[in-house]
Amino acid sequence: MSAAAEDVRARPVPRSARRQAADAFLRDRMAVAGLIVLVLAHAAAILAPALTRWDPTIGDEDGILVPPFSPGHVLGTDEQGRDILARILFGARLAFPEAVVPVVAAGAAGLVLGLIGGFFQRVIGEAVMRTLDVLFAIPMVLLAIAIATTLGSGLPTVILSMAIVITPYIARVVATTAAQQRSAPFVEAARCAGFSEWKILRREILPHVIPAVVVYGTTNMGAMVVFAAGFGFLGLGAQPPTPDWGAMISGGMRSLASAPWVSTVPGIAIVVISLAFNYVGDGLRVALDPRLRTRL
Amino acid sequence: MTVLGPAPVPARAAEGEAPLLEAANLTVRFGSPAGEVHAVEDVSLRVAPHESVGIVGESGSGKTVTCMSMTWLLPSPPARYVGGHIRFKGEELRRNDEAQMRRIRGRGIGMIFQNARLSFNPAYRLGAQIAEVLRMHFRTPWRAQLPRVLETLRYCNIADAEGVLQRYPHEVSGGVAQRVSIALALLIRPDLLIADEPTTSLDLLSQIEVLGLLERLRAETGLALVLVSHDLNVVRRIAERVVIMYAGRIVEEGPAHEIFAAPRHPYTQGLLASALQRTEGGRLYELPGTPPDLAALPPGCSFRARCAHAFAPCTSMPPLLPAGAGHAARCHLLAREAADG
Repeated sequence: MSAAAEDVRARPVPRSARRQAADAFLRDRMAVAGLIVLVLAHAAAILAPALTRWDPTIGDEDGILVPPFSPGHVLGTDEQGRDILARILFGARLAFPEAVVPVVAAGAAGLVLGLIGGFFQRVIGEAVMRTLDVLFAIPMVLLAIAIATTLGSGLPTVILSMAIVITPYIARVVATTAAQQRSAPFVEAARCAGFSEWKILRREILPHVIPAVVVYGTTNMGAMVVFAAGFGFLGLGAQPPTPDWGAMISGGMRSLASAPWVSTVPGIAIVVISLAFNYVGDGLRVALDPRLRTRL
Repeated sequence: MTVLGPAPVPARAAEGEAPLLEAANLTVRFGSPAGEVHAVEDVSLRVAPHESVGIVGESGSGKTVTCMSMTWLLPSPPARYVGGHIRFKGEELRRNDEAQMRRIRGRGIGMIFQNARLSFNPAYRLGAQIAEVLRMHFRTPWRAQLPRVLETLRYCNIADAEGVLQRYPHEVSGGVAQRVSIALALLIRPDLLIADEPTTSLDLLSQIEVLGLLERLRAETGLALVLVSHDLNVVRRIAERVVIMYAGRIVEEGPAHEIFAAPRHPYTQGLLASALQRTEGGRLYELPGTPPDLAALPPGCSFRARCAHAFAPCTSMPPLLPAGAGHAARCHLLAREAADG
């Protein structure tokens, strides 16, 4: 027996659990493609000033509504002569925080509320879940718009209202998963073995809840890209001249017939990023579940 | 043998020895839309140190609820503990004393379940779960525990002990999972092991293997065992004393050989007659009827409606009447026989 083999046996959880998850993720081609798209898009957002010589807020006096693939303006320009590629790149600097921050915030809030509702239950849990039900009854978009109009437009408002709106959804995923696992035979067995309730929560429930939240959250980030674009479209998001994908679509509406690229290009960006988040989420679903990832 | 620790103690309990576990007048009910379900009514149970007790009854007879109540495991609500006391090693087990319960569960009273695969968390490898439980009970590093773990797994007929530790619960068979859970119980060394239908979800060969293992375990370690089963043949093989439950009550209890040779309660007689006997030909006996609805128990003997011997006194609930040394049955026939001389 080699020393290496001996070493592997001495570990209760071999490193390969993580490795197995990575392998399962890598087997999913769409997930890998999605991840590559997200990484490249994020890098492009960070490197935006280096990737384009145009200022996204200042128009080129000579080139209003220049079609794509023109020299100097690869994706064309809009009605003010601003370079669309530059605006897409700088717009991505908003799109990523708008997708990720609300979901992370709602994820944390939803985790706490969902565990109170699904694991601890009792009266306080019931109260939490019924309150969330009230939020469910209000259409998501209307609620977000109501919050945004109350607080005034701007990026922080967009993020906050989106976080508030999706918290009940995440809390419900957490509560359902926790309630399901709570009565699972292995939880009963853990209680039988002398585990305390906190230990059961930490060791038996959370390992099932966290992947569910991560997967649901990642998929939601895709939806948030679209959602945030909707805010921008309605003028509730970042204020002009800040480049915002949603605002870019609404800006291009007036010239849709003559210069369709002004609205279409940001639309494509939204679809691509949103789909990428969805595929990554789906890949994570398989990778994080030991029962799905180990195909024998 | 190092796996088993100290030298085995003689398996048979001395008469009159202080019981290891004593449940007195346990009554557990559940609220339901159809009315209150009388799951367990006035069950008293004693398990002596090193004794093996079989609890037999059909589904819904209260076997599992009785077992779970030994360490107050049923969540309340929906369960309602109407009455009863549990004493373990002379210590009163308080229902709401979580610290005491955590001390007793696992170390004092261990349990293994019907579906062993489901009693492991699907998110972790078996090795990680064994490590977790051992860390909690012994606070020794896994590396120091490992040789004993491997040895115990091999003792439980798991040839590829190293390999099993690396598997997820869904990657092993039900039989292997059950043997791993027995190995885990053996590693913790409870004074009392409650096995709730440990062979029910297994194929015949695995059943034989798991039963053989439990038998060997008991003979060699002297731990006390409560074996719950609906299968008389399983209990016959291991139990020294047998408790028969029907509709939430104990209807007969006594030494195994007496129960099997001379059952006194008509229900036990019916059960025995319907258990498959290899030597007998012809049609297997069927107990007529079905058990009563626990939410709407008729007054009197619960078995009355299915009993061929039912007579006038059966409209009142009979007490457990003595039927020999350590043998009792809940049947008015015994009183009539005694009166007849």
